[in-house]
Amino acid sequence: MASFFSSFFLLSILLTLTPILCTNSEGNALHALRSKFSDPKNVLQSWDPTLVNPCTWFHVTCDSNSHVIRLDLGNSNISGALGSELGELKHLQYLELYGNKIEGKIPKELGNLKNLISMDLYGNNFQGEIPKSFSKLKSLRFLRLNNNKLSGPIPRELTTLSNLKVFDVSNNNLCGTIPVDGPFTSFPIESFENNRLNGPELQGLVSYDFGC
Amino acid sequence: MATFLPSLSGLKYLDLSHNYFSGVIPLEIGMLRSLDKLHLTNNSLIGHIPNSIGNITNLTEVLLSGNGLIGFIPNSIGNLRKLVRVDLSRNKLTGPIPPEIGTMSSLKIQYLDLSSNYLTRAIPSSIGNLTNLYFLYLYSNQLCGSIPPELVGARDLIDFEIGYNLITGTIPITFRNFSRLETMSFRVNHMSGPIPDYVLNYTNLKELNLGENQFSGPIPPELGKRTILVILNLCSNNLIGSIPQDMNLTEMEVFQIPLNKFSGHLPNTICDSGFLRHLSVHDNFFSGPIPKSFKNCSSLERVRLDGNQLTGNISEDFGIYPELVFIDLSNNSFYGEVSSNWGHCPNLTSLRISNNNLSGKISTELGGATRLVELHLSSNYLVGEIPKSFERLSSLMKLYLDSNKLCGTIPSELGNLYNLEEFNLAKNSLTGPINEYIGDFFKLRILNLSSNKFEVVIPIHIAKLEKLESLDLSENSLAGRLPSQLEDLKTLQTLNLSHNNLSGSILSCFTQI
Repeated sequence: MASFFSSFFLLSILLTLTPILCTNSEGNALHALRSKFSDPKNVLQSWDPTLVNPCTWFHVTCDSNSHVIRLDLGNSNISGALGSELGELKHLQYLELYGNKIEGKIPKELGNLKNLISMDLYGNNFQGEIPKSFSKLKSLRFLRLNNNKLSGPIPRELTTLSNLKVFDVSNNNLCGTIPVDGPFTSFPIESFENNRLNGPELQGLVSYDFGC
Repeated sequence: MATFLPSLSGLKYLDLSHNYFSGVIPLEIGMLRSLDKLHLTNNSLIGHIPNSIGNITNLTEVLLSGNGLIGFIPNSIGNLRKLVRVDLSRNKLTGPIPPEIGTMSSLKIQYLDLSSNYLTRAIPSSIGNLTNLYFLYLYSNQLCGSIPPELVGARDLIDFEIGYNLITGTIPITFRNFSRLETMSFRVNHMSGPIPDYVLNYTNLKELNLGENQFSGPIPPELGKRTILVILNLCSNNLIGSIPQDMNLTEMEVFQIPLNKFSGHLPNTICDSGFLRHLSVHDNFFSGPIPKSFKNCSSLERVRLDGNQLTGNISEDFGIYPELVFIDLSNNSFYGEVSSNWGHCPNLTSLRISNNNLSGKISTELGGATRLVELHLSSNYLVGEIPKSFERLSSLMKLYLDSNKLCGTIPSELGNLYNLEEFNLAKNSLTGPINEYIGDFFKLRILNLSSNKFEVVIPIHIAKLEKLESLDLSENSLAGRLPSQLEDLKTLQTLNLSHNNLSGSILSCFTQI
């Protein structure tokens, strides 16, 4: 059991030094994100949680109603993992986290971002499966998850994303078959290469997660 | 935990804080009759706070902050007559604050923190019975209704923080008797009415935060006179009138009153403390000159004066600020030049003076502000060329010089600005070719060179801009054919090349974009 008196002393110090976050819910979500990251290049230095909103923070862009619409942290040498907090940025349109060392699973809460136009998570160390919840991202045009360590099948549900123009999952560890419906008719074969995919699905003849 | 607890009946101090304990707080906790202090802060405990906690009548401290506890705060907490410190913050507790917390039973309580939960209903008036209460934290919940005037019974309150709730109504008149108050924060609620004039009585008040409510009326002159305020935040209310000119700002470090309807002049005493680091008055109706003390206000770190009707010669009214990180003077009536002073502010990352009446050339010494990340000088009357010294601004991400009278060519030295993401030189009189180094801005998303006098061809290197989303080269004298490489710009969403001298065929592979 810990030494009682020293931990009590420590606790009182912690209580008096803890700053109260003053920013709004979107700022709080970004601040929570920052606390999970390791940021050796100090790209998040301007992320001051005592400001009323995060709209003057660098790499954050807001619309005229002070809602966060862009998060641009590509190629920033950031490591750590994502939590559920990004799902709080309800007006987010561009999520650019490519070219970092982010690991762990892709949070399913990212499926809540109804206004998302572009999601670039490529060039990281993401593992686990592509969340089925991405089928809710009805505005999505660009989805690039290539060059990670993702596994499992390409969720069948993604064929409902009629606005999807660019889809890249190459260089992962995905299995199963490649969907051919909806937007998937126009994606080049390079979008799927270097996985354990079994080729385009033979509709009705082979289960889509064949080989998983 | 449950199995060994009953045998520890003589236990006085249980501290399991800052671990990874999971599961629920066992009912058996109520059997620790001798327990004086219960510290379970920062674990992963879930479930309800057991009712049996009310049996541990010797408890003086209950610290359960930073867990996943749910359900209501048990009203058996009213049985704990010796409580001095209660911290249930940062959990997922719901329901009302039990009025029993304020009954005759816990008269000794000094510290009550229920912040960052999901508590509902109104603040119970019985908290006013807690005559020894010094610290009351109820912020970040869903509390509603108005503040009960009876709360003044806790007359020795030092910290009173109830922000981020849904509280309505006005500040009760009875609160004039809170003479020991040092921090008062009601920010982000739905409160209304005037700022009380009796704040004069708060001789110890260091922080007053009424931001993001619907308070109305003026700043009472009494707020100015004897207070030792260090932090004043009245951001985003319906406040009117002017800042009392003799306002005592001798201790002021953070002065934030943006997004109101204030008018009049900024007070001359603004810099009196020598410690003013954060000054924000943006989006009001302030007019008149910059106070003289501004020039030597060397403590400034963050300044927002944007969106007012302030005037004056910025080359004369602003000096050199060694700690300045962010300054926004946009949307005012400032005149004068973009002086060399800004280049001597070593920590400056944001300089915004758009939409004013600035004239003259951009000082070449501005290149000395090497930490600059964004520079906005749009919509002024700046003349001359873009300084070559801008090549030193290697951190620059956003450069907006649009709507001025700049001439000459884009200096080739600017090709070093690898971090550039947004580049807008529209509506100037720039000439010459669009240099091929434009392709080196590999992070560029927005490029607007429209309404200038650029000529010759669009360089093929533009196709190297893999992240480009918006390209506007309209209203220039660009000639020749469209480079076929434009089809490589897969992320392009806006393309405006109108009003040029371009010829040749429209590429069929534009369908790829």
